[in-house]
Amino acid sequence: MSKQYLTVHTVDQAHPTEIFSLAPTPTAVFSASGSSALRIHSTTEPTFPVQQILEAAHKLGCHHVCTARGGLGVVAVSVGFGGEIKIWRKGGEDDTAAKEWALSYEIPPTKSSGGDVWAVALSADESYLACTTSDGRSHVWDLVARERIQTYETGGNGGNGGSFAMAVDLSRDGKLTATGHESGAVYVFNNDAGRMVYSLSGLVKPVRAVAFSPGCKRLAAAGNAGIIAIYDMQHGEHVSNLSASSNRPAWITSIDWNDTGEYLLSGSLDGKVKVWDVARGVCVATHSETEGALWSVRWLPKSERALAPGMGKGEMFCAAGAAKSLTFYREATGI
Amino acid sequence: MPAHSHLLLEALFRILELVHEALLSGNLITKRFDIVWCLISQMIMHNTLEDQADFVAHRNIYYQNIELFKSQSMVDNMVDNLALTLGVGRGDLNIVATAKGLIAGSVDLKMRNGSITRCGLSRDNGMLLPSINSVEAIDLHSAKWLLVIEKEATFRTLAASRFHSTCKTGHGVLITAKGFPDLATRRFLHVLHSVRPQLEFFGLVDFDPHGISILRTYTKGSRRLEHEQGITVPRMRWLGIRSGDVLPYTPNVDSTTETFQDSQSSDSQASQTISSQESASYSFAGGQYFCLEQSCEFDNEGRPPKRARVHEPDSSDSSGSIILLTSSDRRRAVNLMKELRNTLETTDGSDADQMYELQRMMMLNIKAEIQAVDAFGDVTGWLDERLCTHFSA
Repeated sequence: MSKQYLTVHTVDQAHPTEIFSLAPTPTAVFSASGSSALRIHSTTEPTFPVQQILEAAHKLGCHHVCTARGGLGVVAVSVGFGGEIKIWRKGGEDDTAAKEWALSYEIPPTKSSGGDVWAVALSADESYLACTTSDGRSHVWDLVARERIQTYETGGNGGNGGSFAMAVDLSRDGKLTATGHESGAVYVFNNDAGRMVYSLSGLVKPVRAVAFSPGCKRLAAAGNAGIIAIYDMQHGEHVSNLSASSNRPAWITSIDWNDTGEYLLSGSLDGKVKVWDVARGVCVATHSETEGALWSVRWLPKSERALAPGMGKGEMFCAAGAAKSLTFYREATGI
Repeated sequence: MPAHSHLLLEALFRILELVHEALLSGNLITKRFDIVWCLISQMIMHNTLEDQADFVAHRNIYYQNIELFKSQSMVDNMVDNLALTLGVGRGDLNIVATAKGLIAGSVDLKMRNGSITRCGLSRDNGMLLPSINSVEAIDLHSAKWLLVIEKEATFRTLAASRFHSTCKTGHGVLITAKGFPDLATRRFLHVLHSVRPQLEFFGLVDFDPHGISILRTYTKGSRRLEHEQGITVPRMRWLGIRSGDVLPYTPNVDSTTETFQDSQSSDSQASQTISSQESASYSFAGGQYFCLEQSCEFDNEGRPPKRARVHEPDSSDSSGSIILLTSSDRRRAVNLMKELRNTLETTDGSDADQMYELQRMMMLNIKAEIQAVDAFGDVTGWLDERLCTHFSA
């Protein structure tokens, strides 16, 4: 059985330069690009209008922005090319009327110690942040206490630094942290015990994306190999691979599970966004609107409201990259 | 610091001493065997810049005092600081470094001593750039373009294949400064730049932070030598190479690694591959709405059942020319981006272009050398294409 997705809307020239990262909340999507401003587009209106622009957020541009999967959607974290981390909050603590995003605080580059900060992930309760560094470390920050509570080393001996940690994710139950490395390694850490539980093999090439399934039972990892490796989190086993048949599959830059954990979304440098049926191990839809690289693909959290009259409420996802535009897709159900 | 500073002072005095001695005697001083400095006191005193270039006596600051100076860059820094302190350029002091640059192509140089050097005649390796002060006239003939190449090896290959005369867009000139450009090469380029405004200048550098800073040194000058005048080539355009030239999904990549297989995992689902969906998926018109038919057959047959999954090592991407950035590369990239950011509003699009490529470089975490544009390291085809695009545009 195939799935059908259709383009709902494209926000052209959403940013002046290419878009590197997307992060959805229940009602909006953050986008980060090579220019200094972060943009927030509403996902509750058919034209996806700009809701807010966070000007001059990152002087050198921003490579990662994240929100919590399954969270309330009141915290967002962004990382700039200069190595600074910014924590954004929506509205006041108990204020329901004013729903503007504002800078909560910043973690300057010097405080993060070691290599420069790269990927970030937020816990579902929006109070912990995992971030990776170019020398292979991962730090966990308590965002409420504003302090670093954990550092995971992967450098091996001698402290000469490990392989660049290009991707990170936190499981929704908060128990596990996974990092994907340039060496092809994928490490899983137990946050309660504060130690590594699995060192997963299977991808020899750089890993650019890791993602826990919503039920925290599976971990998906992908990167330059052009395939998605699925690991079981109970025993740390390599369960399966999702791959297309092409001889030289393009590098995968971004992956994301849908809310039910049935489907995986992937975006790659050749501009293709694919939807994979995880259980059957097959690709069920491919879209390629642009020739340009895709840097980020994200499912939007399921909403009960229909986007517009007569449009249904199928699952939606968003893709962005070198084309500088945001493209929204919706599952074509009931047509 | 205090333990170190007496060494610095000693080094400075040693340089001053040598310079003073040279100034009085009109001798040449070399920083090293390949860089000749001529320091002439009378230049400053009497401002007589006439041909005193005949004096001799080579000195070797660095090699005579290796213990003291520790490194060549220390000598360079001190001499440049000295020039800066005096508020003049090396050229004004008539401190002339012989160029380490090489040139090949349709250029004739008429030297002050009356001889004529034909750069196009040199059989393969190109010829050493003479000091611009010793050149009286330059004849560029029909040269349409000038290509500055970061790498000596690439230059030599191109010069040997006579690319400067066989290029499809017409005759041109090849120049290399063998890496980071020296003052003499930059001054030479600046003169060519002002002699022939219609000559198109192109820069061909590696896709890494170093390459971009070399390019910027040509177009904007370097910070360390801000006090020097007449050494920039603002019109130089960035021919390559960029991320798009080396990314593995681009067609110019060799297809030797067709051994890619899916998992040999015992999970039967995992060993299924979809074939031919790429072509099938475009059957829906409009590009707005299509579904991927699940009719794609699984080609389990015709394939050894327990064939090991073969991942080529990463170095096999694009004929081994894609390299990972090191942490110092990344630091350098961030510093360059900061520099670019400060000038971004005030300048043309070239800075934005460099910013954009640096960001891509950081995102991909890769760099690549010039020869990465071709599987066999032959850049002529690529160059022809690029030059044609520039000239037809």
